[in-house]
Amino acid sequence: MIGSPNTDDQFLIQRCLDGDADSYAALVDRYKSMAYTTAYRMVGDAASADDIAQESFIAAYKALAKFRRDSRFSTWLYSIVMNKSRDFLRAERETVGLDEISDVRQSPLPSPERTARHHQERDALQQALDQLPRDYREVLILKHIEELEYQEISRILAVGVPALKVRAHRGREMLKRLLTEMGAQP
Amino acid sequence: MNRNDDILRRMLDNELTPQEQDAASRAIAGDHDLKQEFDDLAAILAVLKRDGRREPGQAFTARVMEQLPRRAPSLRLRLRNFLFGSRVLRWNVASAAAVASVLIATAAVLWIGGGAKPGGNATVLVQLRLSAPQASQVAVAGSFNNWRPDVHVMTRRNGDWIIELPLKPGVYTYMFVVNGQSWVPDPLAESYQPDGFGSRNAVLKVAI
Repeated sequence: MIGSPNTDDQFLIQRCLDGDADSYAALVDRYKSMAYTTAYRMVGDAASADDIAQESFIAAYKALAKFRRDSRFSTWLYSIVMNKSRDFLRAERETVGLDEISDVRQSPLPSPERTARHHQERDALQQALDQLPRDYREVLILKHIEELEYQEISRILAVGVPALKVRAHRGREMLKRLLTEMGAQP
Repeated sequence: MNRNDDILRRMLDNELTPQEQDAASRAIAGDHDLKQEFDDLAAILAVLKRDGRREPGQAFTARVMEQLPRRAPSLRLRLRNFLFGSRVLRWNVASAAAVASVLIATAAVLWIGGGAKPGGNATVLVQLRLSAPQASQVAVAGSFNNWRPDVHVMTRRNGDWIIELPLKPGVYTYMFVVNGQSWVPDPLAESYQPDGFGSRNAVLKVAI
């Protein structure tokens, strides 16, 4: 990823608003890795993550005029990716069959069919992340993969910093237990 | 959250002062279970950091750009391109003087009745610029150098990477090569064309 000082982002955003769509390509190049990683670790599927990341950039472009210039473009984009990922997970949950719904209600684990389908393409880390409650997964992705500060995560998720710290702590403990159970603990 | 949990959490979140960190390290070292817990969690965080990131496909940016709704360029953008579009064809006193010299020489040749045609090897100094403050090296590769990324290495200037190329009139395609591996189209180019690999090349038109 090319360096991304906020002033440089603001310059490119202004050019986009002036009708220069090609300036947006520089912003996409700069942030595509973070958008794709966040979506992938949220939904655990490469093709879906690609769609979510693309949709996020398109949504951001359409809403660029509403972007508040006193915040960072990356923070805003993270929140869009997170919302799109939540929408995807919600829609996926609503479209599974009735039998599968009952399975999901009985256990936080994915159904055996879905686990088997994705097992080949998911690494152990992703399989463990998939089993975390969404609130914990969000914080761990932003804190320990994207390496953001709690203050920025708080702005992205609209959750207070003390609550985020508790979620991170519990999420780490749960991730450790899951990886141990899978025999994949480092 | 008990006291040990709090120590672990603050250690893993890097929230301790140096003095607190010394005290916490001693506490952890003196408690076998606590040390095991800390080592396990630290190892998991290292895995998240090391293996967590994923990269999208190479054509990702091109696919996004294809789906964007087109906006009409604003008057300000059109005016700016008209007035300051000199990134592609940069005029200055020296180049204007050079062109004037060519015109005078042409007139002189025609006046004398000579048969030689002037201007065949005329070049224009073109400046290319990319903002990439964290890049360690940027080069430009294009149809003017047989797409070789090792020929025209750009110079860093206040976070921007700049190069001036003497080019003959014509239409060229090019890309920037960042850190020797990332091929990036010029975000400030006037137009683009597909490169046949799912991405796109910037287009540079040089005219006298």
